[in-house]
Amino acid sequence: MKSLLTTTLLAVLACIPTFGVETSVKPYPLDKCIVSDEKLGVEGKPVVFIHEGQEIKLCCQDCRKDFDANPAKYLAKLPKVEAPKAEPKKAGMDHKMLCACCAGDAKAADGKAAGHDHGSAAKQDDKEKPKDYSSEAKEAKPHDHDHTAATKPAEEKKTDGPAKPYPLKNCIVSDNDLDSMGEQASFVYQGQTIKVCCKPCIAKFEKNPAKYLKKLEGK
Amino acid sequence: MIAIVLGAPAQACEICRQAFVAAMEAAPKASALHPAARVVEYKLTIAEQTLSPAGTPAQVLTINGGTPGPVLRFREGDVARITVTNGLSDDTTSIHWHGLLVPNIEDGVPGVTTPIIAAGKSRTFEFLIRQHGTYWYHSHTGHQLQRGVLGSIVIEPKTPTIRADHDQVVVLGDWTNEHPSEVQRTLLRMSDWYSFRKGTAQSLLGAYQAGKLGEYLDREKALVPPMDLSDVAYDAFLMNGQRRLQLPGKPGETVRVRIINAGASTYFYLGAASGPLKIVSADGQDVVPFEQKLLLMGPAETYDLLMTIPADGSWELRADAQDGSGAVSAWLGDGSAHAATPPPAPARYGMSAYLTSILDQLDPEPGAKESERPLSPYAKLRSATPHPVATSHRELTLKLTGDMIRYAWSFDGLDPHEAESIKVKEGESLRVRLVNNTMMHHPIHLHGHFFRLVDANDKDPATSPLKHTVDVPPMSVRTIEFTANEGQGDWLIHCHLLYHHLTGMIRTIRVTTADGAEPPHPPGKHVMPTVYAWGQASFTTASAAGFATIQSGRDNFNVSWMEGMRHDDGHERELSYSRYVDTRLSLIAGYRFDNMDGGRDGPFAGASFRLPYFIDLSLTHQSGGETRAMLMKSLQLTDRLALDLSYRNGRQTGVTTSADLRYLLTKQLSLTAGYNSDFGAGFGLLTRF
Repeated sequence: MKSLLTTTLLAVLACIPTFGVETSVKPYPLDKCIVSDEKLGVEGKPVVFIHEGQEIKLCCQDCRKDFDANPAKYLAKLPKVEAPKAEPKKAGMDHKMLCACCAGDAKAADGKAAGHDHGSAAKQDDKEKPKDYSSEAKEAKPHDHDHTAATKPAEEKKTDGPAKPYPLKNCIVSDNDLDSMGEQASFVYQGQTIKVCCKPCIAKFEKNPAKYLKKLEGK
Repeated sequence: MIAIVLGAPAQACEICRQAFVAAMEAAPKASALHPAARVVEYKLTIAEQTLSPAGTPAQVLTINGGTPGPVLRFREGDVARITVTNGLSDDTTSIHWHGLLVPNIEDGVPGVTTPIIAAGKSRTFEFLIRQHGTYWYHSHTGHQLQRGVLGSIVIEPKTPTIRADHDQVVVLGDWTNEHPSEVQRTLLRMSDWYSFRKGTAQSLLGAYQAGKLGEYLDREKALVPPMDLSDVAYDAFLMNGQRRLQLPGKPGETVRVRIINAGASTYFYLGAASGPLKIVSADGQDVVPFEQKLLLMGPAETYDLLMTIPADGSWELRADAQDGSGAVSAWLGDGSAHAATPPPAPARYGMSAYLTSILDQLDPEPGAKESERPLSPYAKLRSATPHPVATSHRELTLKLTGDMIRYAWSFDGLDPHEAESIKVKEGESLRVRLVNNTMMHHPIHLHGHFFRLVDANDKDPATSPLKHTVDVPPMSVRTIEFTANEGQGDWLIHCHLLYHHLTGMIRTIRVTTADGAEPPHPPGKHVMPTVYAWGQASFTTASAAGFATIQSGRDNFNVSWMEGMRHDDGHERELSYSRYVDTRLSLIAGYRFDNMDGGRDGPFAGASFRLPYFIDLSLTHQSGGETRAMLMKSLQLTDRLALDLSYRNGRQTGVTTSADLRYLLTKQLSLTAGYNSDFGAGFGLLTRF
């Protein structure tokens, strides 16, 4: 009995730190299929998945085959925004703390470990189509958790030293409190840590980063 | 002794405040201060009558026999002398002159600025008319605005600025046959009845069918409640108290339509069959004319339109509730009907798309077209004439906060009785950032002043719009700036959604002397704690269970029970007090009567936590060593069907689990069937009272 109670409490307490999880998946910025250029939705529900930290939306499964055959060709169509990078570790903010299989796994953190499926955690990453992402997660490599992009140095532009800390207390896009939507999102853009209050603000930022970066001038 | 010690200063302050108010009442009135001015008198009598705003008889509060009350017409420079008589048998009343620049004592907020008008008594208001435009008046007492105590004010300028053949006031309203006190009780008990009635309820099946299940779960995980554009399901939407209105005029003539949104909690989309609306005034202030296909009006805002009656046919001017739950129309001209195109229905799911739309409109790309469901057209508003701009200002951030589950609204998360008033020195300019951290629109109204709406770049501030009410969309920021030059005293700033205002989204701004000296008494209390009670009980073939609570502010006094129907089944009953701390934490203490296996009677204490996915965790410790953890989650499967799950683990009482389905029949009644590990399976009825 006592052990059951303890197990329950531990399970609950394990959930509590998920407040404020930081996501690093880049939202898909186009309203058309990256392969066929067809407007999304015309062929039915879009096929949505995450490819190396980048959300991708396609009009149909046929395009999925084309994409898988040559991802680089199609990724070149995306607007040139630097891939999000890992934020410096902070006490209580380290994403790996949330994931038992990653915690302390130096190889995984370096992006050298073999890929593995995180199940429900992976589903949380793909806001639109959890099922699609689950199936994609089995193919993704080398590491298909939502900090994939953030932990793949080979895909990042190197910057001198650690990323600059975010100097504002509110969302760089909406000016709202960072925790007003429950989960704030954080990523690094050109060596600068950026924080936003919600997923729509990521897309807004990526449309015109320079406009929002002005808010950091002099900070 | 303690009561005397604590009560004495408060009583002294109240005496001090009453003396202050009496001195203000005795001061010379406007007619004495401005003897050359024309005095225009009105008499308003508030009474309760039976009318049928929604087609069925209902008790309505009227002014001079109707709702809305009479149009009060003045000319700039007049002295208004208005006698308000309370014809109610058992309630106080008040009248606030919304948007008018009046002395503090005449502002009409009972308990804060102006003496309460008791049943059978009268009060005469006097003030100089220092402005022109379209305004309105309404009760500031309890729910009286929702019940009909409202009317319009039209002030002609000394020199006409806008010419039209006809001048027509259109007062928009929302009406519920329920007593608004019952509406508020329904909202406080987190009933989903109104969203079900309006067809805006969210469910797992609905989200799945809409392809938004992932977003639905993300929202639940983040403890963001389902987005809803309004709280109340209304029985009718009205124009000048009617469900259809005919406007005067002949073909070719122009009509100045003065639209006042006097809805208690409804945003309206306004559109016309005859083409884009030509807007010439906002909140009583002339603006550079502009066109808008669909005009979003927040409660308490006013807009003036210039409309030309077409050569033939009858043309619709239509106001749709923002949540799509209904509409009301006025018609111009005679002949074959030309209907206006209603706005597209709001998406029930798709919070991200909605937020994206708001972001795109607040920060539009160059050349962006008017949205199909636009926000308020503030970006197009420019004052027709330049106005003075403060050379310096102090900045303040006011967060619009709320807990939709408890239906507790606030500024900065504070109960208005816990919050200090905002101090401003007379002559000082205050720039206020209104940060909306909630998922609802809020129309924020400042009493007794016009504020300048500051846009992102604050270009050409001398022609930025002057307003008395501003809509702050969900997850966005509006910035306003005003100079405290309308006299010392306490002025309110509050959300004009009545049920938000009455549950705490209100703050007092105290204008002190220029050197910061203020009256010895604290600001008066406007929103008094209101006590509400509710409960529910289920009776099934296996068990009887239920709860009842009395709520006042952050405090709840609760009773709950659960007993089996079989002879040898036990029971568990609790009497408790709980204190709401914030959206994620409540504290609880009480006494438990428990004769179930391993249970015992005794006092207990603990806390309740709201976890991600709206899972409630209760941890309690009872005398005798019983420690319990309980997890509860309610899953809304369809619009009508919900599944309540619970898991309880007690150190001495062991594990108890339950799963109950609820099928909504009416506001008060549901069918229920389920299983409890102590009592077995059963089915029956659940009633809410």
